[in-house]
Amino acid sequence: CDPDLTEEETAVLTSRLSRQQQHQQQSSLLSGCEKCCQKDNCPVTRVRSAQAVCRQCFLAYCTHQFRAGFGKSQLIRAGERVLVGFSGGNGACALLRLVKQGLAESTHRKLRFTPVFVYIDFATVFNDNGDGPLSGRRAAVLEQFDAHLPVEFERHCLTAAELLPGLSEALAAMTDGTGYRELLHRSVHRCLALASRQFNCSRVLTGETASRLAELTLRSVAQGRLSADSGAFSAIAAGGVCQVRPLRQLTSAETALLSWLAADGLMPVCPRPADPDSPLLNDGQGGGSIPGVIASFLGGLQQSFPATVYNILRTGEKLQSDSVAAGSSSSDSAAAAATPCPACGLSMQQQPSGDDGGNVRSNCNALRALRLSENLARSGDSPEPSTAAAGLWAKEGGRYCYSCSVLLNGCSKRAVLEECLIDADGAD
Amino acid sequence: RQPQRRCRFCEKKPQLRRPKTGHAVCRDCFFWAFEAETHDTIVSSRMFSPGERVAIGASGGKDSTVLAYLLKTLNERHNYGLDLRLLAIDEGIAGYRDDSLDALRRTEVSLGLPLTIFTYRDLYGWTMDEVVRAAGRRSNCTFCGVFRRQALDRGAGHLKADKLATGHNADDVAETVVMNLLRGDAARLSRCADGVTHTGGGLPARCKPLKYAYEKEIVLYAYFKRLDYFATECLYAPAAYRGHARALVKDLERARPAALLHIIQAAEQIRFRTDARMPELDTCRLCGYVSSQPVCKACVLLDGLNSGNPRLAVGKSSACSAKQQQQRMLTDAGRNRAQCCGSAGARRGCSGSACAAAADS
Repeated sequence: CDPDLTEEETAVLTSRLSRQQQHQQQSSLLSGCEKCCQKDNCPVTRVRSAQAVCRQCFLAYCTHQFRAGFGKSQLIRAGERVLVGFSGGNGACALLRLVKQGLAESTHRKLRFTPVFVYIDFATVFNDNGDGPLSGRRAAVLEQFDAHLPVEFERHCLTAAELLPGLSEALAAMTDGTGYRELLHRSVHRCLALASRQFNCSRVLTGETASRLAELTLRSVAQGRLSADSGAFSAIAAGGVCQVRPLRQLTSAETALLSWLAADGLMPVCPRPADPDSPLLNDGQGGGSIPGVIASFLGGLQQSFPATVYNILRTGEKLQSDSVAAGSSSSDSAAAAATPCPACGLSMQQQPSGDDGGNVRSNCNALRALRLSENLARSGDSPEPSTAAAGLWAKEGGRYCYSCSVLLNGCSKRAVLEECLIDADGAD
Repeated sequence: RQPQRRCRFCEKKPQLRRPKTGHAVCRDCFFWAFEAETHDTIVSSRMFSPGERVAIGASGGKDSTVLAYLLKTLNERHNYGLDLRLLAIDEGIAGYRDDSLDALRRTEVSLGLPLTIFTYRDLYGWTMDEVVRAAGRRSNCTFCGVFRRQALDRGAGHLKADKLATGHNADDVAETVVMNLLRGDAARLSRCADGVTHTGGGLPARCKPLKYAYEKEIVLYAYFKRLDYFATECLYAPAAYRGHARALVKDLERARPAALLHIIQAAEQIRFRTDARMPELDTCRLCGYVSSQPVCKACVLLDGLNSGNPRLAVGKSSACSAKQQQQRMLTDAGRNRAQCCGSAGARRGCSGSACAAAADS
């Protein structure tokens, strides 16, 4: 009841609501599932096509979305060793369940790769030596491995502190919450990449859902890059590691519902690895962090506009990949010719050049405007900014892309952070 | 943050901290920096050419008032050689637009720039108050946005302007980028961050000289310069979808002030796949305005209003019914044209009524 509406407007809205209610009544408990049309099967949720589906149809829907990605991409060949990152979260549990189901002998057209399940333990990074929540999480994950993985599946627990020795120091040296969370996110993927090399795996599967990928896309935009890599089904990261996101078509809500409806005892342990006491993660003070802001925003907007997450991913599908490794194998000559950033493997973003008569886009862009503002120097009453201002007009010759430069500059121990990010042994 | 004892650029005591960079500056140095950055944006993007007539889209609000003041100042200081005119659109919103137009008329006098006002009533036969009464308070920003864009273009064409400058700031551009991403509008995303947009169809190109200026800094500039502007939000704005994008952008700016320019940077560097399907821009078969559809959105909305079905072209169910409506409009227009001008002398854009009105008058 909106007091600002006139009587006529209220009547129009009321009639529409009546039609919606009629529609809902058609798919109510009495009518049964709209997918299998069995009146005895009670609908439990609505999926993307707004169909009300029963438990069996929902489980089949999730399985289909998972399998369809592999079928369309043809990325993984029979017998290939594939690393499956398991964090104990919602997406990871769904991924474990679907991979196990897909590899079962009784499954029609079963998947034929060899999975290697890996949990990256961050307990020692945050000085948790046995009593803290991260140690408890590790124990819970190992129990899940024992309870839910067939004996023939490889499973490993690797320590992040051993894979990235300077990580703890680098995290403590980050100066803002955004950089902290970005480093945490990158370190997880870096550890998975190193693990894939250690266990001779050609691909890395992660449990990132559509909601999570939409978040990562928005985070990437807020840090200066919009490309297909953040939300794609597969992306090639630094070191040539191919990351695959088989849960790309499922939202976080759907994976949570999957865990509940599967009723096989495999439940999420903890949302994500983080130091809960870190003041940099307390989004209630000092403006928060970009990842925190985006996560809460997207979660709220998705409830009012359910197509939001898919709109973001669909837009990303129309973009080119910034991955230099991906570009060199395609007809994208611009990406193939680009220099890869050693920290993230993506192409170096366009650096602002001087006024050398080049095209307008290289002479006028937001990065250039930001550098101008930060480096303005006034000489007397001259209305022109000083051209000696921090070498603004000289061609930028940075080693890293802009996003990675911002991350590195946000750490007081840059050398330590570089060691964590740079893949010295990576094959480019 | 430690209090600064000296302005970043001179020896004076700082009077404000720049939202964009966090630098503590005195008032005069803030003016200098703000004007220097705007001048750099204009020069580096080759926004104007000497001798051009530039219509400044002015509403009486802070952005357009600051834009008019800045362009006049920089035009004289750096000899751009531009002929500046103020162009305003009166949507017919009682209690809002009439007050801002009063402020605009005072700006016309203080800056000495000639002002021309076009009204929705003159162009479309409807005021926004009448549109809201007919269509309701949902999606009314769709009507106003579509109508105003075309009105500005037509007004600039009437003034024989070479360029149309608007007061869109960094916050506006960042919100637009986020909004287009959230709605999955790849076509608009590809051009929304351009500083100079060539609309085509013989219409003046649009420029955004304040594209990299933060909204907070525009407010500070207007405040310290004591510029006369009208600062109230439109009565019908609160329900707009853009509000969601604005809330996100504000929170991102609070977390990291440079995030606004990072968002714009991401949109400027965007590259689409060569096989990505994008709508092509053509012209409306009824009015000749640039459009990606056979009939432009303004004509479709107007047809809905005139036929008593204003919600036909807005909302989720519009995709199929909009096509049917366009087809019907084209068919009716063809029939009217044949009856009105005759097939040999059919004028582009004639839908019968214009000729009929001319004949009556």
